[in-house]
Amino acid sequence: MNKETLETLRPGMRGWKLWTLLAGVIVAVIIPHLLPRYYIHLLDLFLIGSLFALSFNILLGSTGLLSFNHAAYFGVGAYATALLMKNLGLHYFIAIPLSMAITGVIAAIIGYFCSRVVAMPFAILTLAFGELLFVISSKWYTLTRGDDGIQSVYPPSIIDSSAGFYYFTLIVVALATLAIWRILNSPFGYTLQCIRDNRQRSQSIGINVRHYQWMVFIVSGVFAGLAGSIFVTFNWSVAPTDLGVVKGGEPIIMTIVGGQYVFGGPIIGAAIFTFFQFFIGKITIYWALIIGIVLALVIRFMRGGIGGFIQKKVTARRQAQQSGV
Amino acid sequence: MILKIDGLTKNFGALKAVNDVSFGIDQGDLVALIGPNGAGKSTLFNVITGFLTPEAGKVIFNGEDITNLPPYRIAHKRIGVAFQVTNIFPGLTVFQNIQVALFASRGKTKNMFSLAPKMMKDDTSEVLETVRLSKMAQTPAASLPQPDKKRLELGIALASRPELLLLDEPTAGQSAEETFSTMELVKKINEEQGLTILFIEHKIPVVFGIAHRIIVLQYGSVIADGEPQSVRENKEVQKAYFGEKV
Repeated sequence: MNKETLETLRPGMRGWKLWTLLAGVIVAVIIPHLLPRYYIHLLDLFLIGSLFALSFNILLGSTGLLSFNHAAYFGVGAYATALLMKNLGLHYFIAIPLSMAITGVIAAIIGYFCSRVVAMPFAILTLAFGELLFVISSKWYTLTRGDDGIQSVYPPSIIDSSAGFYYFTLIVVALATLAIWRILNSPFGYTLQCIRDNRQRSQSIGINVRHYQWMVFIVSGVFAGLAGSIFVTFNWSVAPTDLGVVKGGEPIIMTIVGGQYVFGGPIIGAAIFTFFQFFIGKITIYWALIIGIVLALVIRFMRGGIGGFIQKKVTARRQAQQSGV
Repeated sequence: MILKIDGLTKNFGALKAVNDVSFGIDQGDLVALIGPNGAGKSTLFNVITGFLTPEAGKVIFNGEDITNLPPYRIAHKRIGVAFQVTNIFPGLTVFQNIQVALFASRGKTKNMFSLAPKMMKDDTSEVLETVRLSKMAQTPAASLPQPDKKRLELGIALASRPELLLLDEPTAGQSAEETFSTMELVKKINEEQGLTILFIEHKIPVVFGIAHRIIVLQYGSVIADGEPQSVRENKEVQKAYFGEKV
């Protein structure tokens, strides 16, 4: 294909993308009026899961760091929001940014230690700190109400309907996704990829690897905290299991299945995880077993996850088109 | 004098990899560091760049003691390095490899809100032009052929705007033709940009062809240091290193 043909194709491709985006927005807007309430809740769960997995993948896919208990920050965000609303009587919309700040501080303290190591020691250290937070949440009864968790954390009346809460979640997750995308495509984001690819080389061009690992730990924690803040009013409650190691496994599965090296990978993974959990959960209580099999198959046959697989196909097709095949 | 190595010693257990090495390098010089395998050349580079901590001695750069500083701080002092084993960012494109080195040298890596693809495009293109990789700009670095990877490695080092460039075997794994072209490039950078270059090289004719000065290491010690002609005629070098007259 010669250059002129490519030039004429480009505006068409741009139009195609624009139409897809527009169609997506229209579907996203009218969908709560088409689906039964239960399915709208499912969409909320999917959106919250997407943000949680995207925040996790800032560490894994972009920086090469496997956090074994990212739910710690999800849980801190949820608990902070619940406590600020219940104990201090703050409005939900004020509690959210404050919770993000609190999660950021907790992530900064834990990240200070975790950023000193990499690979397996990093994973184990994140697991250890996660367990520490889990113990605090389940044993410090006067603050967290222990295993009972904090109940009756309702969203404000303006978003109290299922459609209202869905729109709220959609907007916050969309904005957060955009922010994460922007961060990953900034000089800071490029620097993270350098650290992922080659730590020695990064240092020799003047990057203080440990410092950046610390920074990204905080950034990733803050977004996980935001996901937790949305979750707590979705769920009307938060309990220690929301920051436990099982919860911490969710973004790992979502990201590996969806694809860690593709920006949208964790979103694909969150969709599969959430809808599998529901539809297969209706058939059998062993739905987690099916997810496990899917995970094993993806790891065996699709190293880059489903998102990676799709991207590879699209790239190959584009190259074939360009070379005129 | 831009770089002064003073009594530098680095041991690995009982092995004295670098043994009381001292020399200085003048601004704008093109100096080769040669010696048989295991002579301590790469170890010396790793000490200068902060990846290894010496047992004794000092590294003075631009009058400042940089011994024991972490590698990223030494990079900030504007010492660029290209490693022996190709050391690039395989997950990024060729263009991004250079771009990120430019960000790092300009202190832009903490910027979370600007769109990186639109930044420093001209500077990046200029470096790519210098190392003759303009046509491969959008290629993923991992899929470059080996000689191009070596040139990209050189480009990354150049992008950090160094005052001193350390090259560890820039022509390793290259054919005769590619070696010639790489060394021409090194010479050009030295002459046109006035950049001080210290390079390790095993291909002896290459070294004698371009270096202004040659330092010979053996068993961690300097056994000769001077202009190519005097090193060539040095009996100790001929006997200990080359085994025959070169």
